[in-house]
Amino acid sequence: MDAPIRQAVDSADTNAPRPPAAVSALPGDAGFWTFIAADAILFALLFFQFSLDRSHHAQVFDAGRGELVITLGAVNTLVLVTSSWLMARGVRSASLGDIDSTLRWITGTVGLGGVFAVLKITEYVLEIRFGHAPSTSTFFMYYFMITGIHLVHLLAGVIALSAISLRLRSAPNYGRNRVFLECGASYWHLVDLLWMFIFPLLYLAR
Amino acid sequence: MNQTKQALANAWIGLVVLSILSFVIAASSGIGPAVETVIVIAFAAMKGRIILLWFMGARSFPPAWRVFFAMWLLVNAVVIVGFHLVSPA
Repeated sequence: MDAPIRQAVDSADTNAPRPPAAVSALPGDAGFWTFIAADAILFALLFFQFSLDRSHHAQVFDAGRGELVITLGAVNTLVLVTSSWLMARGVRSASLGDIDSTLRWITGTVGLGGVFAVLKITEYVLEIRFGHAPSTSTFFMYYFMITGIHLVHLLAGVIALSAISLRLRSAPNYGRNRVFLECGASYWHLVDLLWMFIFPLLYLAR
Repeated sequence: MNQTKQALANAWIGLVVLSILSFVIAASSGIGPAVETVIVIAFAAMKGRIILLWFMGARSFPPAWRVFFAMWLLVNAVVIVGFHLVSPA
């Protein structure tokens, strides 16, 4: 290799842009994560209080747990983890610039969110027909309260993701929608994360 | 937050497998309630870690946030299992 050419190649090597170093950052907006953390702490307190009360009234809680329709809760667990996977795929597609695919993944996520809500409401109807209401026992008070708060979170997530979907349709650009999309996705994953403890706590642990 | 398609699929498969194992273990009632509870709550914490790492992108979180969520998983699991184990049968 001629000297000038070698020099040019060496120079190009040293001046070549380096891959960015791994950056520690929260997806979406850092302020939004304060809300996510506060929500996570709220549910941790509910889990604590439920467990504390159960330790004093184990028979009442076990009797209540035995009346739950575990199959519906189990199916909903699979529905929610699948919706979370679809959402993660949506964020990935968006980062690659494929907004059409992102819209399809979000539609799938929202659809499974709807399935979860329908199954949960079906479960409530069945429990009430079985004669179980929030006033029936301490267990059912916790059951309706914890799953109800979670259901409200899920419905808020469905609304937020639908709004983000509309925004992406009107402005199909990742850069302009990145913060909204990542905040919406993080919130949806939080809804999934919370259910990972709610289901075994209420339905399985004995 | 962006993982490869394969990594996301693996995470989903892990979540499904752990969920099904939880149902099976809870339905079997052959190993005793205390052991069942420890296993299903341990699985819950493992599933939470999968969601955090692979779906929420916790690998790139600032260290303080990684510690916060790790502690959240640990405290939930210890509190639930601890109170269940001290409850009268």
